[in-house]
Amino acid sequence: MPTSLMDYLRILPEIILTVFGALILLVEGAARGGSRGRIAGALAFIGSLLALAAGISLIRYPGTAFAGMVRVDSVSIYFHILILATVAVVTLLAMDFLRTDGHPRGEFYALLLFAAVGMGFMVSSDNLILTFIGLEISSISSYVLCAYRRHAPKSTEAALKYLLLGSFATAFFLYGITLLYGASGSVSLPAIGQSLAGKMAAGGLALGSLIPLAAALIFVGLGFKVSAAPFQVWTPDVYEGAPALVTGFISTAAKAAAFVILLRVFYVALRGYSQQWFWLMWVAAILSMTLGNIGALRQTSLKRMLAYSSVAQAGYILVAFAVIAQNPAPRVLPGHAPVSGILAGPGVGAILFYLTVYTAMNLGAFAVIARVANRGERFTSLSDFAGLGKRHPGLALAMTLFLLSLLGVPFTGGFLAKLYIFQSAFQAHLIGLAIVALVNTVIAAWYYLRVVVYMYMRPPEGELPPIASSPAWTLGAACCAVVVLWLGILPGHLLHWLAK
Amino acid sequence: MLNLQLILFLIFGALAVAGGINMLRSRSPIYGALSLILVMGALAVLYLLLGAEFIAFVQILVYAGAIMVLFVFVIMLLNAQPLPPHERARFARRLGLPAIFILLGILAAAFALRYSRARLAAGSPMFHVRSIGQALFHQGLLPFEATSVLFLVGIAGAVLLAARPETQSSGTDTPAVKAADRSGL
Amino acid sequence: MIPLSYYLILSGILFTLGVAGFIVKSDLISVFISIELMLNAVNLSLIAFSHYLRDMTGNLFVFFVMVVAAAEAAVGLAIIIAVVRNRQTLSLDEMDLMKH
Repeated sequence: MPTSLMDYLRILPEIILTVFGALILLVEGAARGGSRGRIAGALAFIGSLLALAAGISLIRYPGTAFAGMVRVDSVSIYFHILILATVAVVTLLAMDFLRTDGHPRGEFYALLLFAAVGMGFMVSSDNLILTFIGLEISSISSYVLCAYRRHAPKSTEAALKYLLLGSFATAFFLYGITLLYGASGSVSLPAIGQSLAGKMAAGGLALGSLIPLAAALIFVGLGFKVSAAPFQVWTPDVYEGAPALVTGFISTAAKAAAFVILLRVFYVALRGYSQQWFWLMWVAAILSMTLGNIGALRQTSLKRMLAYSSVAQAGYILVAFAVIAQNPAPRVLPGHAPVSGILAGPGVGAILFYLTVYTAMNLGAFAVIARVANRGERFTSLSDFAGLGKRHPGLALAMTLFLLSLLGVPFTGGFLAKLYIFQSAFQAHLIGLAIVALVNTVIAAWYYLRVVVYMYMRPPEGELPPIASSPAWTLGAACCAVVVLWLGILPGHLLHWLAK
Repeated sequence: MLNLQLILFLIFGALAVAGGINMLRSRSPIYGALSLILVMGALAVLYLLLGAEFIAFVQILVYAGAIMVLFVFVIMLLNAQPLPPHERARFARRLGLPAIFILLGILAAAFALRYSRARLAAGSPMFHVRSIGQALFHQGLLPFEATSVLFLVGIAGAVLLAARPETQSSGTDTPAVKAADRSGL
Repeated sequence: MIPLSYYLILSGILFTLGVAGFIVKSDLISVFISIELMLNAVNLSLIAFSHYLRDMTGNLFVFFVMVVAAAEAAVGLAIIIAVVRNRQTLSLDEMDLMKH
């Protein structure tokens, strides 16, 4: 089947991002002195906005492209918008930050855009070959971004740990794909689903069937990527050592894209085996929530605390995955799946909503940390935030909003996101899981509120250098805050759209 | 014919396992890298037995030829010496290794149960270079194009990370910032 | 005629050796080499399945795995060089700046 223009239209966001990424590399090679990074930042912002527009326009071109490699459906469009908006916000946040930090290298933006290309392929891929390539593009860009402050030992050490454990996880993911290929004869997700459903109908799991093994290996690989327990060991070190904005990026967009792969592999390809993988999700959800929250309790570095917190947040999302497994949606014929078919199951909407809110609040929190940490990222500990409410009321207010949302306080997006997850868990009769999640939310209150107490009720400790003003940063952080508040107070639009 | 294939498999399979064990055993990174090249060579022969001639050649050219040369080059560049075993290693051996061999046991049992009767036909080249090329540019066109982004990332990343230190100190990089960087964030 | 299971078990052994190397090794480069061994093991399975299923996709996948491994090696070794420049050591046990 020859490729047509339509095929390329369906990957237009990726094409735009690639072109702008390459353009940044070219411009950066020619730029000298003060203009370094500035032009690159502007180009990256324009590129991500154009790609965002292209992502939104995908709504008009649903369907498959490149002989079934790419499937543009509501999930892929939704996550294109989420990821590209995240990239645009991160470029805004980074613009002045990179200069004051003394590392004005345009490669940062190029790698950011390339990572988004990989994530775009991850969320719209319908074939494990493309999923794998997309995962690797985004992972390898992230490894480099972590080492971006390459003269800082912590930054490179974080990159090293991310690289070693990430590649380790990739090998497991690949092994799982291989066994799935052996068992089903295909690497296309709908074809695998069809083949396995046929096998299931023909008499269930044969002795020595490779499918549970394949599912377990794929789950190990993706569990590393979304930092679900017990595969979260790398998270605290990497999130603490990487530059704060990079941490904000990899803990939101990269994680969301990995969750989409998890959703597509388990929901489309392995849907007939949901009773088997339900327990995988169940155990991982409980472990992630508990280990994440308990680990966060005794942290004094804010980045490390938010790293543990993001493990816990992954756990809440896995609760929704367990809900999906418990209530397999009415079977839609693979290949004939309506564009919104994947959204039909209970729990899926909760996942999308949660990931959106989580992206906004987590990125916002890391943006504030990046700003307070100042050049060289020296001020990231809890005591550095003492008295922030007096010195920088605006920053303290933003941080409070993001932390309260992470905790799940009413009138923030985090509250409704958690509510939908708990609600779907109750509806699916997963009472135990819902209770563990509730208890965990209470535990989490301690460490989120402690930061707020430090900011408003403790006197400042020591002298901190002044924080340079940055309009771009303010705009970016305001975007995050607006999303958190908007989804907390008027979630109707998004929920209506998700319900469709 | 039957015996020849089995004999070849046994010889080169044993070579691959020997290379793997040697990699695990040796303390020095350079021996590890050379053992891995042995494994790759042995696997290339197995690929020929499996009728995948194109992959066999790419294995030698790209994997053993390019990637491992890069490894050896970096080992030489960093003058990597054998390290004494550490606490972590002993701890891992006690806890991790049994778990791994249980994994292997499960894998092997599953494979043996499921596929012991699945015979592979004699190894005439099954996938010709021509058909691989056609598949690559039809079915695999998009992943193939996507790999170009991957290589751009590789180039940009390697340049950003491993460029000579002098080129880094441009424009706004003051000594104070660098000192702050070095003093551990 | 060789049973498919022979190839798969060989691949399982190599994968396990790679995992063991990843856990036991104490210098960065050897750990990275262990990951390459794991990828090679996966490739063997893919080719064996591809032959068994008489399907080209497995061959195609191996090609992409190799491409990815090349890019990963380039970036990974660059990161290792950056780490060694900062720390003057290849020992993974000394990578503990963030243990409080």
